[in-house]
Amino acid sequence: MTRAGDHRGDLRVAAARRGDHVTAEVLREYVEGHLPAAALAGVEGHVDGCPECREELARLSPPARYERLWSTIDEILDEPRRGPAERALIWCGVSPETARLVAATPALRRSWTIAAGLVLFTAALVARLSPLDSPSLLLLAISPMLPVLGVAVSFGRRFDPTYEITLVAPVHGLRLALLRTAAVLGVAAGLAAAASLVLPRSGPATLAWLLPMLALTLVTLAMTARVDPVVAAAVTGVGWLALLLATTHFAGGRSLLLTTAGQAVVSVVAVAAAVGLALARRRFDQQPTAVLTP
Amino acid sequence: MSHPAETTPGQLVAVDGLTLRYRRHTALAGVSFTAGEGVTGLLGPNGAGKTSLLRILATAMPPDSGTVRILDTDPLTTAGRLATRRRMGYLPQQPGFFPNFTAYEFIDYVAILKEITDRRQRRDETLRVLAAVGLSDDRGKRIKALSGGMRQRVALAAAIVGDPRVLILDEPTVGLDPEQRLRFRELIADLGEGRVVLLSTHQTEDVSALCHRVIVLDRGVVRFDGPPARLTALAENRVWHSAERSPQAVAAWRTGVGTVRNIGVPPAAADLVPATLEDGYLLLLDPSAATEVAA
Amino acid sequence: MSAMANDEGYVMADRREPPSDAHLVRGIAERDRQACAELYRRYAPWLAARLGHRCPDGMVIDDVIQDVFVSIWSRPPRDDVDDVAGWLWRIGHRRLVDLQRGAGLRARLQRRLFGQRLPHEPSAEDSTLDTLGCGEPAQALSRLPVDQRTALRVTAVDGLTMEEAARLLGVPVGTVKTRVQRARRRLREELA
Repeated sequence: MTRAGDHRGDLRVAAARRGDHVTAEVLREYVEGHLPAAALAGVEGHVDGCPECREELARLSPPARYERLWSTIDEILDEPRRGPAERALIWCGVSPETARLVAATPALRRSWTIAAGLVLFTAALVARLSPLDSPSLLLLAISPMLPVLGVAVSFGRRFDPTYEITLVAPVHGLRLALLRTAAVLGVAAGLAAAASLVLPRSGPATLAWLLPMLALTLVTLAMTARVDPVVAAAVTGVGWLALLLATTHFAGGRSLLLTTAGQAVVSVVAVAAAVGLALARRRFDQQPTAVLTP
Repeated sequence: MSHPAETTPGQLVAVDGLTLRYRRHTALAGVSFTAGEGVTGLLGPNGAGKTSLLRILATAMPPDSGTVRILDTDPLTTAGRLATRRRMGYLPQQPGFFPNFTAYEFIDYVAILKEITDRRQRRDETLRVLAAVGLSDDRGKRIKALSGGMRQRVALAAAIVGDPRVLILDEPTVGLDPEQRLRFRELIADLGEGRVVLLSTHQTEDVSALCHRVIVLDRGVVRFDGPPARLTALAENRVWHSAERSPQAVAAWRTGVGTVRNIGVPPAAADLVPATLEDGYLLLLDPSAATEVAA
Repeated sequence: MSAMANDEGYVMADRREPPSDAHLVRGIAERDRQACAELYRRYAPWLAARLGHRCPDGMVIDDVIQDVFVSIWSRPPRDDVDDVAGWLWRIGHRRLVDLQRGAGLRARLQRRLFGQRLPHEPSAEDSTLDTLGCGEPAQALSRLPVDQRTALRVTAVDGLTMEEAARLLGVPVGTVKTRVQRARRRLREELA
């Protein structure tokens, strides 16, 4: 009933639109993009709503292209999701594998970072607003403890769900421990540096926490070779508190630790801890039996 | 007294005179055995020392004394430990995961731990082990969204990353429902080909279904070492049914059909029934039973 | 290992009836990779064909399809999707437009910088068609219901009369007129 010849594809398209399916011939032209404009709307309109024609269209399409595309998509979908910290590490040149080992550290979870940040800023604000002559004292007291706490929650059976398989993996125990500790230290130092910006300028004293932070962290890490990380952190914390009380005159706002001599002593402690760590490196590859519960 | 463990041909794992003590408790009191290819079961009640033994074999901790030899290497030395770890897979008793990781991400992480640094190689290996445990379609799911049986399969996949020759599985079927346990056993049976699989369990059905060799450990001592059929044979003609508990039975319990199953020295006109592995195991472990210990 | 049922006992390969599209989308929300692969198998060639008529570059189309499936996996819909084809098309078309806008922007920037006509720059007519195919009017067009869109395109773009359109689409002339009117009204509202 159609006028023959006038509109190309009229017949076919009319058939398509009246509920019959599109022929394979037309579908192939559609797939190849050769379908004339007049026929396009009708065919498209039909196929839009017809699963059978879509199946036929899929059958008529070159499989190689779609298989290749799917394997690309598959890879993208599988690709491990990376958080901002991990991506930042990779951008800095760290290998993706190392970044992954670091990023999986339990302590880098937002909770520790947020808690550490809050503590530091509160301390800095308090220090700024308080009548203390040396406001950086509070920061000095608190910030070295933060990575120690971070180390405590990065290792061991209690906080690392993958503890056992990590222990027996070929990856060297101390290397993994150092990577995680470096990450924790980096974050803590960054936060403390930001907090120290809040303090009024008092010269190099604002960064006096840096060396103690390093020393305390290394001491804690060295201790984890023999004792439970939480115990190590507790001992270090108490030790630091005792040291502060012994060397600091809070009322006067002075501390031996703020002097060059004090900082030098702290560096020596840091070096000693590093040496101790190197000597005890084998202990990071095995669980000491005394600590294990049967 | 203990001589260094030697691996004779076919025996890829050898242990001699292992002892381990925790404070006042003796976990292992001189354990010796050898194991070859196939699935070897470590059977024993809780507290028998199975986990401690497997931890030592997995190089997670050193023994107090004794020698170990795995694939011609001494894992108690530093170099040997590294070499052994590269050829071994371990499924611990309560495997842990990062719950927010997908199954794929977790296995990828384990592959990094196992030193597969090449990205393409790591991807291929991750896909391979996930397919081997039947988790290909679910690899994009977060581990916290997986059922217990699927999580156990993720843990098994992690253990077989790198295609290790030695597999140490600590109570892998605990907590699984019967159907999941069945499928898990199929996986383990497949893995036993060409590998040494040391599997600990306190369920005798796992052993009778899987193991060509069983070692019974009780309070740190090896009580039996041999094929499961021989353990079953210990209870041959020593199991009978009765209406009520028999006073001379070493162990007795009411079965599902109402009769009582007794193990021990049967009375004269007892209704004897065929023995199962469990019967042999119970008889062996009973302190009063005068069973010969098969060394 | 043979195909194993997952713990819920659901084995896709054994089902008597193939799963519905909506079911597959739900599967994607549950991060079932097989569901995503099946949805891809059903829709990717169609999406490519449909996009292919609006953009000649096969590689761009590949990129768009890739982006579509990555996006539905990463951000699956929270509610059930009734019209899966329409949903996929909307995502794909939006992505195509973004890509082409980006490309157009780059070309215009280059022209500004170098003050010359680039060899592959489209002619005026092509630009118009381009606009129609990949610009805002076309976006609004693609949001119309199928019937209205077809009626409008066939009359306004292809230049058929009402009678010819009616014969083509197999509906009464009055219906075509109504559809075209509704389509125009909607476009006016959208593009206003």
